[in-house]
Amino acid sequence: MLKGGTFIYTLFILFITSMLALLFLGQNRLYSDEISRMQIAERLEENCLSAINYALEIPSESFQEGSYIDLFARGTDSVFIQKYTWGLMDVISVRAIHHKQQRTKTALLGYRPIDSLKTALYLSDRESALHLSGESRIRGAVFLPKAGVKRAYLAGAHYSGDSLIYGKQLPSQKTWPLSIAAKGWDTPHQQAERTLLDEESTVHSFAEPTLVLTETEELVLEDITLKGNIWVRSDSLVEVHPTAVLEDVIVTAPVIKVKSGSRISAQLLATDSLIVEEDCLLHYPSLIAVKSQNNGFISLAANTQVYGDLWYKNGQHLSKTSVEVNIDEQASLTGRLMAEQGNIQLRGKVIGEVFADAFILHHSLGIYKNHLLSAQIDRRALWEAYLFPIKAREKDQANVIKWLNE
Amino acid sequence: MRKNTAKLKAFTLIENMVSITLLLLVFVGASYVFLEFSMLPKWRHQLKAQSFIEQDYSRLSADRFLALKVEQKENYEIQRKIDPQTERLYLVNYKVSTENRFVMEKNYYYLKSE
Repeated sequence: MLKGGTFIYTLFILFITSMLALLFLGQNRLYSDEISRMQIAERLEENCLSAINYALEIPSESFQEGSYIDLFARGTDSVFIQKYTWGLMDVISVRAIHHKQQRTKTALLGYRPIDSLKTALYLSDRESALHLSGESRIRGAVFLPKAGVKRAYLAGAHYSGDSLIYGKQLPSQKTWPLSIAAKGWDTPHQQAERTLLDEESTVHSFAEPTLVLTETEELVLEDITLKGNIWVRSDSLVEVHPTAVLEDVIVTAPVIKVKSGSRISAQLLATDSLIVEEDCLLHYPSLIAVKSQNNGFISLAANTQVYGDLWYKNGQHLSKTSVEVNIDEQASLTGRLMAEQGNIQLRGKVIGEVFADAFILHHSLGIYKNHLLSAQIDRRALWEAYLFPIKAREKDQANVIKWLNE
Repeated sequence: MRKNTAKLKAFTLIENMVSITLLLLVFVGASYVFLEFSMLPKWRHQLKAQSFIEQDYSRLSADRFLALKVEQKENYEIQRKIDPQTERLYLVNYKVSTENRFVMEKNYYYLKSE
C-alpha cells in the first residue's frame, strides 16, 4: 500500500504530466488550425479571381440575380457570382465560401472591342463629306460617308498634313455598329434611400446596398468627400466644386456643372446639359453622359482632361446648326466619344474613338457642317490594353477596369 | 536525527525539481520530434509547392501554352495541365508531388487579356 505522501506526490506528477500533454496537443492543434485557416484564406482569394475570370468569359443570365456555382465541379470550391449595372458601367461581385470563412471581391468592368482595324472615326453616312483644315489629324481607321473626305480652306488655314487620313478608309452606314443599352441609367441595383447628409465625408462599401442621396433643390457639392457605392441625385442642378472629392460615385441631375479646377472620378449622368469648366481632370474611369429628350448639350472647356467615355443621346432629330457636344481647344478626351442625333464641335483632342452623326463648326465667319478645324483624333495613341468603361458591342471583351473598396 | 530529517527534505526537494525539469525536457523534446517528423515536413512541402505553383502561374503566357507540362524542381514534380474552355478562358490544373507522394493540387481559371 502506498503511503499518503507518496500517493499525493504521484497524483501531483500525474497532474503535471497530463497538463503538459494537454498543452502539447493544444499547441499543435493551434498551429494546425492557423495554418489551414491561412491556406483556406489564400484559396478563397484565388477562387474569387478564378470566379471573376470565369464569369467574364462565360456570362449567364443567372448572374444578374446572383447565383452559386461549383467552380471546378469538385464540390469544394463554391462561389457566389453577381453581375449588375452601376450607372452606365457594369460591376461584378464574387464571394468565395468555405464553411465559416469567406472572401468577397468587387470590381468595375471595362470592355475591349475586337477591332483589329483600330477605328478612330465612324461618321455615319448622311451624304455629306468630311472636311479637314488647319492642323487636323486623324490617325487610325475611318468609316466615312460615300462623299469621302476633303481638304478645306477655312479661317485662313489650309489643311497642313501630308495625308488626309493616317489609316484605312472604309465606307460607313447610316447607323453605327454599336449601341448603348444604358440599363442602369435610372435606378441602382439595390438601394437604401436617404436625403443628403451634412457629414463631410461618406465612404460607402460596395458590399452594402447603394446609398442614394437625394435632393429636390439645387445641390452644391463642396468641402465634401463621397467615395464608393453612392448615388447622388437632384431634381434640378448639381454643382461640383474643386473642394469636393468624388470617387466611383454616380451623379444624376437634369443639369450638372463641374466647376473649374475640379479633380474627380465619377459617372456624371445628366438629362439636359452637362458643363465641365476649364482645368478640370476626370480620372479614369469616368463617364460623361447626357440622355436628353430636348436638345440638351455637353461642353468640355479648355484645358480639361477626361479619361473615360463621353456619350450623348438626343431623343429629337439631328438639328442642322446647333452644337450638342462641344470640345474646346486644348481640351482632351482619352476614351470614346459618341454622339447620337447630336452635332459635335470638336476643336480639341480625342485619344481613342469617335462615333459621330455629324460635326459642326461655329466660326465667326459662319457655320460649317462636317468640318474639323485643327482637331485631333488619334486611335493609335491609345494603349493596347485600354478598356472602355461602356459596353458598346455585344462581342466586346470584358475585363476588370478597377477593384472597388469592400 | 533532526540533521538527518533536514537532509532528507532537501534531497526530496531536489529530486522533485529534477523530475519536473526532466518532464519539461521530455515535453519540449516530444514537441520538437512531433513537429519535425510529422507536421513540419507536411507544411514545408505545401509551402514549397505553393511557391512553385504561384511562380509558374504568374509567368503563364497564353502564347506559349503547352497542354501538359511536367517539370522537376528541387525533388518536386510539378505537373501543369491546361484545358481551354473558350477562346480566352483556360482551366489550369497543377499537381505537385515529391518522392511519389502527393503534396498539393490547385485549379485556376486563367483569362487571356490580349
